[in-house]
Amino acid sequence: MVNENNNSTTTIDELTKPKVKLVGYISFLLTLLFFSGIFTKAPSWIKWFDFVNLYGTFGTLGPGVSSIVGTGGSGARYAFMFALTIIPGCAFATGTVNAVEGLGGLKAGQRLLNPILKPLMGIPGWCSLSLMAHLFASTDTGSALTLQLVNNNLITDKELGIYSAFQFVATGYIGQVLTYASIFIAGINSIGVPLLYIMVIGLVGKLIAGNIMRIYIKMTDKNKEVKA
Amino acid sequence: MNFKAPTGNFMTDFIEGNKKGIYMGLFVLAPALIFMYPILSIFQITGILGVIGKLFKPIMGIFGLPGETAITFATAFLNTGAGLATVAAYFDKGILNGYQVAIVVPMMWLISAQLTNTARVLNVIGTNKKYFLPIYLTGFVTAFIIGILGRVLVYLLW
Repeated sequence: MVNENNNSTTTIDELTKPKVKLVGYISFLLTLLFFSGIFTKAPSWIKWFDFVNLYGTFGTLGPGVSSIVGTGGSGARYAFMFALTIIPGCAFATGTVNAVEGLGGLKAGQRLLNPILKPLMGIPGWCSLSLMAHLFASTDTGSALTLQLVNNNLITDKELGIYSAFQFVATGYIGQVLTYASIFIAGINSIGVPLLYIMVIGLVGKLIAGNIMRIYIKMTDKNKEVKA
Repeated sequence: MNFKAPTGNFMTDFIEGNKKGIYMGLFVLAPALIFMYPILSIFQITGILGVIGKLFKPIMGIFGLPGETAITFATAFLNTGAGLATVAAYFDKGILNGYQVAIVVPMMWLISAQLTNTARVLNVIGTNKKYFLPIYLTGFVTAFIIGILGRVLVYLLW
């Protein structure tokens, strides 16, 4: 009983006198001002602090406008419409990759990569399964499969260092590029650069990262030997 | 959100993949865009964008990029989607042209989401802690190399 009473008084205390930090009061006041509309037509240095201005405008639609984002929009409204135009691309790309994965397409890549991983990056060929999963399916699947290699002692500490660098920079690159392509494809297509270029150059970047790490590990390794 | 692993049935897998894409678009990209666009509006209205543009022009100029792309790198470091959102917005506003988009996108990706990736990759696979710092730096060095390479290639090939 005593305990219950204590509980109810603390609850009442929390309801009537919640602990508020100064930041809480300030943010509350600022929120009121933000939504108030006082600054909607204010001079430019404070104009941004207004819900209506950041909410923005939808683009204008009319003859010759090809997408639902229209022209000349701004702020959150424009961003949302833009996001909507991206979703079909995301869905189509991830659908295709998923179907290819189901058909065993990634296994083919795994098989092809097997013999070249050692010269390419100095990691064992059996990393190719986790590597393909990492590149195409998702970062997390790749990490889970890599963990299996670690747990089965199939990869040394140094090799894992190299492989980590490869996975860490631009994680899940190919899958991510395909998914997010529609966000920047208008830009690169305007000058005729194909998506393949973005994929290849990023992949080269990942390989460079792996090899920088390979060199670093080799160098630090030698230092230790000299010291000993 | 969990999605079923591919089964080998083309239609099922394709549709399951679609769901994943719609989820990513709605719950990863849309929030990033709705976060970034108003922030860029703030930067533009207050004139901060112009200041940042001038301030970082010398560094970004190495890659043939405008100074404003410093914001792209800063946001991409935290969140890939947000970084891409700035690229899209800049292209819309004419701050970036097609060549510069092709240069900045792979660069941005190489340094992207380092904090999340530490949790999702390095911590999961149990990379030796002594390699963490070199790996972080590797991302930046690689982005630099790819930036230079990209600048040459993009103008050479297209």
